[in-house]
Formats: sequence, C-alpha cells, structure tokens
Amino acid sequence: MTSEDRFPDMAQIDAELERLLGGGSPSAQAPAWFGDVAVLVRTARAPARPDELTGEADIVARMVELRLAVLAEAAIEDQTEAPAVGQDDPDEADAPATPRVNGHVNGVNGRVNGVNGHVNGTAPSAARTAAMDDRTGGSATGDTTTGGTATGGTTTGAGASGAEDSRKETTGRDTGGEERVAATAAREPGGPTAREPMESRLRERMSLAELDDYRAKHGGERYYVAKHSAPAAEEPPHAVARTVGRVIAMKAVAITTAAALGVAAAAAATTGIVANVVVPAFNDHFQHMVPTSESPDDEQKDDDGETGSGRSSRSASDIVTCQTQLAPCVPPDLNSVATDPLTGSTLVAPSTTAPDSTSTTVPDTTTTTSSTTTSTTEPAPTTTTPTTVAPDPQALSSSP
Amino acid sequence: MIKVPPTEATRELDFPTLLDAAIAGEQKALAEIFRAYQPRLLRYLRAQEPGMAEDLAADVWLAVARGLGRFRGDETGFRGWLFTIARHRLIEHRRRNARRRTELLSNDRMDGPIERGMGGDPAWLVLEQLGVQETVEMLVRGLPADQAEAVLLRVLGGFDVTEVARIMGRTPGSVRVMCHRALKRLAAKMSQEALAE
Repeated sequence: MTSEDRFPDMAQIDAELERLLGGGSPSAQAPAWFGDVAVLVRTARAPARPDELTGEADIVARMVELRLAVLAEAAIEDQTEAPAVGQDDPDEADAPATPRVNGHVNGVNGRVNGVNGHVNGTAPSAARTAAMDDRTGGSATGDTTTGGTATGGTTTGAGASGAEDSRKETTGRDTGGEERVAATAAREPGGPTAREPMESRLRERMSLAELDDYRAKHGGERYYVAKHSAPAAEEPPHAVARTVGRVIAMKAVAITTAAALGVAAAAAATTGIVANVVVPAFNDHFQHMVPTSESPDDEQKDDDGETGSGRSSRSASDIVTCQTQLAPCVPPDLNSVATDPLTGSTLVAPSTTAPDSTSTTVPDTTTTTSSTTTSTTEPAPTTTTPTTVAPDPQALSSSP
Repeated sequence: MIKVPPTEATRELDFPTLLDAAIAGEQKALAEIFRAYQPRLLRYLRAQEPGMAEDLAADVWLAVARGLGRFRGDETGFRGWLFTIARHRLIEHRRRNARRRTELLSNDRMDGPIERGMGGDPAWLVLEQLGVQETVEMLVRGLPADQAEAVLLRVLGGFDVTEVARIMGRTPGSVRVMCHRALKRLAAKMSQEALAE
C-alpha cells in the first residue's frame, strides 16, 4: 500500500512529511518505512559529538580576531567620516561637548592605535555584558575588555599603544568630537583639522585685518573656509615620468613641425629656382637654337664642305636670310655708298655691335645702310657717325 | 523568546543577546554560536563534500565573523544565513574542483578520530563516528543532488519548506515536491533492503 493510498489528501501527506522531516514520529496510519525514516532523521540530528568540535579553539580565536579587526576598521571609518557638523557653523563648533563614548568601550583597546576612544553602538551595554557573565559563569569582560571605560565625555585610559600626539590631544580635551579630530590629526599629519574652531583656523591662515578685507571683498568667511580647508591636491603619481613624457612629446611635435616647414621651404625654393633660373635658361637655350643664331661651327663645317649631316642641309631661303643678316658684316660696297642729300655727308649703317663699340668706317667714304639691314637685336638708330678708322674687311667679316 | 536549538546541548541563551555579544567580538558568545551550529553544519558539508568538510566549515565561520555586523534577523534567519554561506562555499569549491579535475578522497572521515587521539579502541571510534554520518548519508544516498540537498537542509538545517526554497533559490512547491520524491525513493530503497534481508 502506497502513501497515496493511505493519504488521499495531499495536504495530509505534506503534514506527515513535515512531521517526519522535523524529527517527529509518524502517525499510526503511516506506512512502516515512515518510522524507519524518522529514526534516520532523529539520528542525523543527534547532539554534537566531540570530534565535530575539534577545531573550536582555533576557529573561535580567528573569529574573535576577525571581529575585532572589523570593529576597528568600522571605528576608523567613523572617525574618518566625521560629520561636518560644526564645520560651517561656528556656533555649533563652539558648543559644549556632548559625550560621544557610551559607557563601555571594549575589545578594541590595545589593538588599534589611537582610535580607542570611540566605538559607538557596537559594544554591548554593561548590563548585557553582566548578563553574559552571569550566564556563562565567567568573567567575559575580564577576558576581552581592557580599560577603555568612558564616563561622560572624557576618555580615560587611552590605548596602551596609541600614538603620542593622539594621546596628548585626547587627554587634553573634553569633547568627544575633538577626540575624533585629534585622532584624525594624528593619523593624517598635515591634514585639515575639520573640527577645530573656525576662528582659530582663520587666524592661522591670515591676520584679522586681512580677514576683514577678504570678507569685505568676497562676502563672508564661509567661502574662504570652504576654499582653504579643502585638502591639498595630491601629487599625481609618477611625476617625473609624466614630465619626461611631456618633454618628449613637445620635442616630437617641434621636430615634426620643423621637418614639415623644411620640406615646404625646400619645395618653395625649388619652385623659385626652377621658375627663375631653369626656365629662363631653357628659353635662352631654345632661342639660340633658331636658325638666325647658328653656331659658327656649323658654318665652319659647311665651309669645309661637310654636307652629309641633316643640319647642314639648308634651304635657299635660309641662305638668303643668312646673307641678309650678315650684310653688315660684308665689306661695304664702295660704289654704293650713299650720301646724305641734306648734309652731303656719307651715311654709314650702324654696326651690329654695341653702339659704343668701335664702329669702323672708312674715313673718306660714307656707308649708308637701310633700316632693313640692321641687326634684329638693337633698334636701328639712324645716326650718322663720322668714322675715322679705316675699316678692316676681315675683321668685319668675322664678326657675327 | 527565540532559543538556540536545544538539541545541540548548548545553554539556552537569549539569541539576540548572544548575537550582540558575538558582533562585539566576545569570545564566549562566538564560541557558543560555534558549538550550537557547527555539528549540523559539518554533517551537511560532510554529506556533500566529505574530503573538504572541515576546511569548508572553517571558511564558513570566518565569513560569518566578517559579516556578522551586517546581519539583521532572528535565530532562524541566522541559521539560514549560515547554511546559505555554506552552500555558496560548497558551490565555489565544486567549481574549483571541476576546473582542477582533482579527485578528493574521503579518508579524512575515517582517519580523523584516530589521528585526533580520542582514546579507546580506534575501530569502535570509527564505527561510532560513522553512526551519525552514515545515517546522514543513508538519507541522501542515491538521491539526485537537488533532492539530497533539500532533504539535508530540512533535516540538518531544521528549515521549513519556505526557508529551504529561499536558500536553494527554488519555489516552495518545487521544494515540497523534491522532498516528497526523495522520501518515496528512500522508502523504496529501504523496502528493497528489507526484502533482501
């Protein structure tokens, strides 16, 4: 017979199982195996055996140590995050001290330096500790609490290993809030003492006259205190590395800029050189390549009778042009010397050389040339120059 | 007034007082709590991970000591918190163990009493110690993992269906069904053993 046959109601089954798993005895109508399971459950719930508590001392000691460390951290955090009450309001800052240590500070003395004055709300009350003592029959407070009993707002029996400065300030003042400040100051040398009276803080920073000026200028001390009470900005880590990095970056930028400028200047200079030097040179070169400016070598070759090359083969018009251009070089025909009808003097065509050059004419003859026979480079001034030097026909023929 | 489980043969203490003292770091209070809950915790861990039960239990207690200040609740809540931590430690251990592919032996359970020098006949000590643990293992032997865990939490942890469901992240209905199936399987097994005898 199954359990479903015996317990048609599901709720009844659940109730029976609940009783069974809870260590209870099965009902009379339950199957036999319910009893066996009940025995197993009761056995599994048997009291502790000695071997199951073997590591008790070690584990409990570690637990106690851990708890005290956690409490100490909490106390430090409490004091670090000291409320800003009184920081802005001078009246509250100067108000009479209120007791900050409640009755019993335990478990922290001797373990945490300089923070034994304020473990608030986590310690059991004295009555509760006494009840614990009564129950356990031992002296619980004697084991775990050493000193640290606070009355009113004055902390006596400062921690055995507290910091010297902290101890002095703690014993020198009565306010619980200032105990926190002292502990904070001892922990953070040079840090802002947030709980000090505002007036003293202001006096530390400037004289009263300056303070009055500042108030008049900036409209009150609150802004000033907030500004100057802020902790100094921390030095960024790896300052040297950051400086070196900045220098390297600046140098890289400078080098890159210089290189870019140099390339641009070189390009501009090259363009200028090409435009001003190379292009005119090419132009001049190609101008000299026109037939009117044949090199004397070619003429010499032609004169030598070497007519095999292409350049030497000239057309008839070229030859005529050449002859017309060389006309000034040809010795003047004495028969065709013109005479100025007005003056009766002999007209001589200007030389193809410079005007100031030694133009030679026959003194007793006058050469007259038309404007068509003048050189193409110089405008032909129609000047009449009496020549006194006898012309040398060979020299004239050799001149271009 | 909520009491620490009386079956643990501990002093019947007011649990909130005990907890406050333990939070403050009182050694005796922490020892009381340890004595009250360590046996069942250890059985629960031994039933699931025999070779590492002691180490896991120590980790659990250290975690309890670290987080005790943040705990808010009564005795049932504390018990649930304790077994939840134990369950998480167990899962973490199994994950690590699966990555390492290390097979841990359960000889510790056999050798422990002898090595600890409890005196008397070692064979008797082993058998006596196996009595409780063997019983626990008989409860969950052959069960699927989730059913075994539900039964262990109900039997050793002393939780009701709702608490077990919360610890396991299941619905109460599924926990109820798991326990029911586990007991049916256990009944079938015991019937077969009875027939075999």
